[in-house]
Amino acid sequence: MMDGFEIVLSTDRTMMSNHHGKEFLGFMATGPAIGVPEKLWEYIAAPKVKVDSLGRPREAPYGMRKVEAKLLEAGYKAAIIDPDHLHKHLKTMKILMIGHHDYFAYGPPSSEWWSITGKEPLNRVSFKKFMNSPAVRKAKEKGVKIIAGGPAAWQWLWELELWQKWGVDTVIDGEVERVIVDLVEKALNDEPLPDYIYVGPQDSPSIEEIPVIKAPSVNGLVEIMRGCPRGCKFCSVTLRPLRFMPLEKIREEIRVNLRGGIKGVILHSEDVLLYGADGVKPRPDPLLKLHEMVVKEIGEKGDLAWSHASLAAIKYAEDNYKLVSRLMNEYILNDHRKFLGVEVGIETLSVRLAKIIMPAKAAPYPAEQWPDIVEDAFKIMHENRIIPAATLILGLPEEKPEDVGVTAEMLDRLRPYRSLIVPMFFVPMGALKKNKWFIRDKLTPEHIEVMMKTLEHSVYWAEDIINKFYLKEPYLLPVRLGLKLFLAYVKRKVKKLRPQLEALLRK
Amino acid sequence: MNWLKVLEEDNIHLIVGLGEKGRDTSIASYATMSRLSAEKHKRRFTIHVVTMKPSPLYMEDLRELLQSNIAYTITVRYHDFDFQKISRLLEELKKEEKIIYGVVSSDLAELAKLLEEKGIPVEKV
Repeated sequence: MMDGFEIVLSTDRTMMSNHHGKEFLGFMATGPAIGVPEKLWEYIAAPKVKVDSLGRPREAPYGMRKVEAKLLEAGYKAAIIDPDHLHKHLKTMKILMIGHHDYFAYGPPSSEWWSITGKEPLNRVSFKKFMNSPAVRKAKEKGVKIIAGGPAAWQWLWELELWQKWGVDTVIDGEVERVIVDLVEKALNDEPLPDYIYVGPQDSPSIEEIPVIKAPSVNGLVEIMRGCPRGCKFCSVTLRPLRFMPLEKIREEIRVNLRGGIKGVILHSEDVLLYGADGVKPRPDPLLKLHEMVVKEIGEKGDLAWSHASLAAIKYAEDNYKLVSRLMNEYILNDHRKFLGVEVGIETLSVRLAKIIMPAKAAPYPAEQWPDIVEDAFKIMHENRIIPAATLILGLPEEKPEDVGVTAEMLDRLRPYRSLIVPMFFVPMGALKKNKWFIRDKLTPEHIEVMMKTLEHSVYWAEDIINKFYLKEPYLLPVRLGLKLFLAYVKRKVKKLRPQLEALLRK
Repeated sequence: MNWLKVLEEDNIHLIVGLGEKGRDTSIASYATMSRLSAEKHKRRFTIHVVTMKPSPLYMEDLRELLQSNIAYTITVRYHDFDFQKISRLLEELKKEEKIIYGVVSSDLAELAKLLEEKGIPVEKV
């Protein structure tokens, strides 16, 4: 039997979950329990994962797997441990490393649901419970160093009292592969550590410095590239240098997942169609080779999804090469894989605002064409059984009421296309990170109109998606029922509130 | 002191004295960082925060600086008002021939004086 681990990586249940094998269900963890009992909400959003006798989860968040891999390659006894099994390693643990997408629910859409409902979202509640758990408290009492990182590391700057209360030693923000081994070594040697670290873009790791994961990631997520060339001002990822992972590296990670019993793949990128691209113009060859390789590895029955794609790239790829329909028909769709899920960004349908905030979002097309690009891309996706979850951002700096009004009007054009559209309140990030937050008090009638329209659109299509495509496996029946219950509640609530909201809009 | 590899190599050390004008000092520090970065062609900073506030509560004053930053690698190290320790730190930095600069709240005259005595350029806010 192996000794315990000196370096333990862990996080709370909303992150240490495979969400029933359905990545999008994880988004329910960004909201508070609404319309259904909290236990049911937790069950739908973040069920427990299988673990071994040491408490190592079968699948874990991808970013944490990268850090784990780096430490293992450096020879440390490190492992990701499920939050319910931390106590098993108290005798040997010297460092506890924690990561999260949204520690305190300040990210979108958590901050929006919190603002609207006045209730703390599940992810925040769950993380606080984790940090207050007996195992974590005991670890701290014994002198274990706590290092917090991940894409939401910045949120600790807004929770200083909790940072102090929980005794977090160092918060590190940014890509850590070049630096984490040295930080850990100094922590183990009891050397003084910085309170806070920001890893600037010039210290981002090269492809060679990024390790291959050693154990499976949640739902088979593997990255195919890092960074994005579009330079949208609200985005933090675009600040990173652009790097494409070689096919061999991607294949290795898919095989790690398959060997660990994870049968599907989520190709992770800020824009999958920009893999191997010529600037912002997709190229068929790298994408066809990538998908050919992936499908060969996962076989006919493996699930496949894209994390994100841009609407401009979808349009360009299809208009110039019929590439989207080729990928779907020649590689992706089959008797088992009936659709492809992906997140896309609309953000705004105002050309004026798009030119200020995201001038290259439409590229290689001019920004003036942005609303048409959005509609064309939605049509392409609908025709090819790609089901997008699309984001809008409300409360962007420089936004005027007429921008939101235009967006509300244009939303009608998207009604015929199967999709979810979710408006998010602006959260200062990326180049805009010193701007002010957008909160409920600042909502205008135009914002409410957008929120009503997107809600109606999404509820309509959500029912269609659940009936025809999603959660069809028999073992997921309780989850389907739970979701349907939630949708029924939302529809009732909207019907009840509609007269008041319409009166507000008429004013 | 064993500095962090990569993050604290070939960098500039900024001694920031956060007094009553903590937030203003933090904002001024970022402007100083931009200037020094351009002058010295460096993009890494270690900010040594000298403050009466406990760690990490002092970060409230530093938040604006950190939120403004997208370009530089930054490490933030906390120091309380133990002038003997600060003096030793400064001696060590000088011995290692590090680039050192100070940005100090005007109410922290003693700290500013200490830095000046050590030959470190100081900006008072």
